[in-house]
Amino acid sequence: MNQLKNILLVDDDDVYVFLTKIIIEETELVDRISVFGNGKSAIEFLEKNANDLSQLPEIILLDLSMPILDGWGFLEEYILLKPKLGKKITIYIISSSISPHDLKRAKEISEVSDFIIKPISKMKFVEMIKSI
Amino acid sequence: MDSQSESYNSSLFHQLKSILLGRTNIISKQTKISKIKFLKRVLWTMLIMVTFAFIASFFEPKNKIIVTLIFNFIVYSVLFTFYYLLQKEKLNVVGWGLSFFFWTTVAFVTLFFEGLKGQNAVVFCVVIMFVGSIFGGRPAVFFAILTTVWCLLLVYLELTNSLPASIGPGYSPINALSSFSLTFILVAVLLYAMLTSISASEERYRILFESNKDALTTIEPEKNDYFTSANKSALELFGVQSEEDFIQFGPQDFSPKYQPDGQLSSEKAKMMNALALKNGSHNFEFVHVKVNGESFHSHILLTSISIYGVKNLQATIRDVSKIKEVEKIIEKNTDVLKLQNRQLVDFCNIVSHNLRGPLVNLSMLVNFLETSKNENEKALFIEKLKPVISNLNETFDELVESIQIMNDSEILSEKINFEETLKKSMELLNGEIINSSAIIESDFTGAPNLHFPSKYLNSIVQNLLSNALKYSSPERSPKIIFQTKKENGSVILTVKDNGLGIDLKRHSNNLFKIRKTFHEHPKAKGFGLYMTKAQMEAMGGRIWVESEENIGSTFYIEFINQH
Repeated sequence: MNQLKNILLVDDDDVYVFLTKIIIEETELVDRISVFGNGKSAIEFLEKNANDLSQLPEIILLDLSMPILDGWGFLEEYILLKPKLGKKITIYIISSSISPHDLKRAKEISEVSDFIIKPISKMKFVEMIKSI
Repeated sequence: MDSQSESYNSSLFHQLKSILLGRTNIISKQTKISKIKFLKRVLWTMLIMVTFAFIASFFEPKNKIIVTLIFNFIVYSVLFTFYYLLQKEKLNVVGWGLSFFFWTTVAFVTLFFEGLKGQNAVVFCVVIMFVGSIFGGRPAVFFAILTTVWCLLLVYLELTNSLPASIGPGYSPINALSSFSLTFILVAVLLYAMLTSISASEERYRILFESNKDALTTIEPEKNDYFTSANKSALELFGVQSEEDFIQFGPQDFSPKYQPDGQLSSEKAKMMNALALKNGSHNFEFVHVKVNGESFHSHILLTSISIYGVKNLQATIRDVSKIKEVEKIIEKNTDVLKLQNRQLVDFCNIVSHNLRGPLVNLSMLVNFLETSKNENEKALFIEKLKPVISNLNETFDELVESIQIMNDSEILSEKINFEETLKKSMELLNGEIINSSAIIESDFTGAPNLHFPSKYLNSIVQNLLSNALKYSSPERSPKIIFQTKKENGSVILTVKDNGLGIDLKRHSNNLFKIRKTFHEHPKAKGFGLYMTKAQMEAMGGRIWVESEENIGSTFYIEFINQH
């Protein structure tokens, strides 16, 4: 099984982040989890480490509803930033939204690999990592 | 013909002229059957008259019996042949045959019976009228030209004394009487047929015009756009007693000074007429005024028509006031539906993000609690439950509050003073104002008072003030300006600050949504603007914002129906 170096968790919900971290840690598949409370700080992190392969994540788990820069805003910025990044990154939207409108919108963005409705289970997470 | 025509009224003359010149072939447009009936009547008339003339000719001693017999034999055989052909419905053969037979007979008579002196040329008129009534104007003109050439030839022959020898008698009163009787009776039959068919078709069109439920009028642009006719519906529509009264007016007399689009009615009417004349027809909407002063929306179709060479406009006027009213209601309902639909979408989002999120957390926490065997870990999970529940509670309370606003259509408006409302909010936020050393200015002279639910206005002013204080720039002390003005029956409140501003390109979609925040501020909750918008929409008003990052924001709130 692949061992991932780095996962980015972009979500403003502290409790959810806390629980997701526990789930990911329990799989023992990931070395490091970096957490950002909104899209803006996550983008800033990616910009800063665009060429630093040890810092860039393999996977980004992205929430939609966030202050300052929400998930959609993050994706817009990410698309602009993508050519400069030294690593292929897989993005999953992990949202509590059950709105078909959000699902449709996510499907229209090719950078998004999947739309996962919260909560994420350990099984689903393992599956996700396997698929990379 | 000229001396005769003067005895008709001029419009009849026009009609006859147009028949002979082929402008409108009213008679030729009759059905085949009625034409056959008409031809049969002509044949019968001729048969009777020829029989009288035949008998009479025996009493004239100058007549050579053999000529009389040959002439009448030919006439009778031709008439019976035509009658037979008519029975077979050979309309065209009979029509043209009769025309040529008439014409050649008259030509023969003029040539061999003393030329034009016998005044036989009058009979030519019958032939031409006959042709006109059967085949329309163009063949009649052809025969008329043929006849003119023939008569000129006869004049030439008479002047040069080279007329062929007369085979008939000289002047004979009996023959002359016979031939004139035949001529005049035929003229009478033909005229009768023409005029009855003209009046029949005129009647038909008159009924079409008169009994039409659409208001129909005609306008003559060359006569200063006056009406020239109107049907019963038009008279009823405008409330005018009679057509004689109606044609004293033009469309401009049944209009308000200005149309809803701000144009002068007289100018718009002129423009519409010109367009209809140019393009053949023109559709448009117009506001008319009845004689009793009542105004109504109308839909008008102008068609350019030509009546005996004079340009006219035919106007079909429909009262669409009721449709307009319905349109307004539909528009209003559509707006309400749009608003409700948007609120529904917003609610879906709220349920998705703001209720489902905490619920997911709760269920996950409970799962962990169940599976955890470590007491310390359990305590940690329980600790995490608290903020989730309080967050859920808060969201829930806010939702209930906003739903109450949306359903609170009965809330009473009262007269409230802006100055006092602002003072109250400043007192409540006194701590923040002092801490930030904010300067708050206000100018309510444009509209000092408002008719609005005071609960809402208090909440709106307090929210805007608290936002302006909360998102002030750390680089400068806050300056907040409140102003009101009146505009088209609305009062507009503006709240201008010099704070952080908002990136509208990014956030304009979410600005007024619940739990959406745009700055890293510990107290940013994303509820104030959501509530303000809900309150404004419940009262039919609007809120919008202009903002530039690091310069400041200006919020505009429009309160409607503030006359």
